[in-house]
Amino acid sequence: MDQTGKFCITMVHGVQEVAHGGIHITSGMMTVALLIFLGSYGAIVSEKIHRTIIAIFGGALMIVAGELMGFYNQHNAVGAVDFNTVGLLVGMMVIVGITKNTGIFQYVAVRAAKLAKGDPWKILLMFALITAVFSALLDNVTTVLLMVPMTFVICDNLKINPMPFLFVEIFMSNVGGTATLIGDPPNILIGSAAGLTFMQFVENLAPAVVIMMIVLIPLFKWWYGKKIQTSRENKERIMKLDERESIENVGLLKKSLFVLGLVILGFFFHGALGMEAATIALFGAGLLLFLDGKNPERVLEEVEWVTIFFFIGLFVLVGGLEHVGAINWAAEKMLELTQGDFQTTSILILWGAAVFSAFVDNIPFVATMIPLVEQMHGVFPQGLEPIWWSLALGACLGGNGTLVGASANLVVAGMAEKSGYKIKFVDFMKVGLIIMTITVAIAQVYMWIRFY
Amino acid sequence: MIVKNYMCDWVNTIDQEKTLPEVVKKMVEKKTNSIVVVDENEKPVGLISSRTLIKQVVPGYLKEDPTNSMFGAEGTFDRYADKLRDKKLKDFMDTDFHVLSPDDAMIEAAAYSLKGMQRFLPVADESGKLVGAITRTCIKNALHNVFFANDKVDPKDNGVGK
Repeated sequence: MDQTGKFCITMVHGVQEVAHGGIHITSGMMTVALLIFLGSYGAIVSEKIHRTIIAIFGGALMIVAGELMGFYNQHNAVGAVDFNTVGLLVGMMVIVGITKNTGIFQYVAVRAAKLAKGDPWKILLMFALITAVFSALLDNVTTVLLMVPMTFVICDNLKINPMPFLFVEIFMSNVGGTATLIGDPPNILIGSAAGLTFMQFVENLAPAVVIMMIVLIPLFKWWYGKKIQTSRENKERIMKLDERESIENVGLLKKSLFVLGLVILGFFFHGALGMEAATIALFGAGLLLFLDGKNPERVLEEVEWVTIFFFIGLFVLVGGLEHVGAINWAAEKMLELTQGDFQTTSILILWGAAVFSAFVDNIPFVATMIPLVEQMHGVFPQGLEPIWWSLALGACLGGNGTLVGASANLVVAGMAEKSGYKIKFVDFMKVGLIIMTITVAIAQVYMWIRFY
Repeated sequence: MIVKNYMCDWVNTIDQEKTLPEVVKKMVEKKTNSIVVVDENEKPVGLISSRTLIKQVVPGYLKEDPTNSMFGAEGTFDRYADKLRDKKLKDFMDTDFHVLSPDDAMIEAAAYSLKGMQRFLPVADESGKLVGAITRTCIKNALHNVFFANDKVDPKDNGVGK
């Protein structure tokens, strides 16, 4: 049964509880649930306390309030956690955690710089494409964590300012990540909840992403081409680097690439195989752990449990809101606003998601929007699929708007600052909002031609 | 077996207002890998080890995965070191450390020496004033004296340069 089916049953069950259990949602319950949710949301946005702490505490508070007032309980909360998303994230983190220690990413970066003959613009172009492709096949935070250190190393060798590279890598990680189910956390959430497959994401979003890249690359050349000039001597230094030095464990490299290849292949066919994406990722993680055969503790330490628990807390929080009927109410209000018009709803979600995601974390936003979109089931003759694409495009591309728009942006900024380069919020926003507007406009035209 | 019998009475100290180049100079002159940062009352407020200094010079992008440094450009070390010229000790010294008292048991010193790779444990009196330090050599001497009661080493011969 797909995720949409599961959700419907949960909702029907919820309604039955209301009907048969004598539980009537009161305005008091609604107010408490909304206060907990909005308070948590505000605290996440303020960034004063770590977002994971807020999500766990807010989630726990929602359960306690729900138990006391009778609108939510622990059983409901566990049911609200999307274990497909959690499994997919954990599986990929294990696979990447092992693979990154093989030196393959350094190999690829140096090889690309040499293929570009040490020319800074061509290297920027190569790194942009690598970032986009890796972001689509791994995830964008992992990709920038791997690309940024090598960017600094290459720029050090070329004696050029790494800032244009860092900006382009942020933009391309968010654009590239938009193309697939696993590329960006919003897509993982949407794919899992809506039962959309990896191939459906590729078929529907990758063409738009390719168009965006074709438009953005000349823009990057215009903006940064002249700022990253270097001498022939520095180019020759790049050509002298030996990429083979980074590969220290050939055996592990072969095992990792085999499993990674198998998992990516599995993603392409998981719909046809009738398996969830999480099954593929967790199978790959298990297989690679087995083939590696070493201490699993070290590998499991690499899993970003802080992110995983952030997701779990959010699911519990949003679950409470759903049980109290607030999401249903919001969906009705939104449809009132768009007068139930399919195209207007899709446009509102695309641009609304982009603007919202530019200024606040797109993960809680999408986690809240998913049940809201699900409430629109049966409203449009075109089905919900194009609405999901609007949400995915808006949330992922909106991440480019400001430095806080996506986790990958903050990761790059943090690493740059620790290396002596401060990316200023306003400097990034000036460029980021342009990139966001261009890409969302392309997405809008694409949606128009393809789905309206 | 207690701390005051094995600690070194002489400890190299430095004021927290000093800069990174000044502490490097002092540590090289004194041939030591650890130094205690003290306030005006000679109370230990921080520790600087060679590892603390190295952490400052390695840029953030190389700390996560040293593999990247294989392709590092010549001059990178000098360039990042040069950025540290005006860095004050109070901005990067280790402040998470355990302070022993002279009457503490040696097992406490041994246990804390394993925590977070802390190679150097300041010893302070009741008023908080620094009176000595326990190094790994002190602990090694104590271990020696357990095994070889008839051939004890001088506990004060702990290799800390004056």
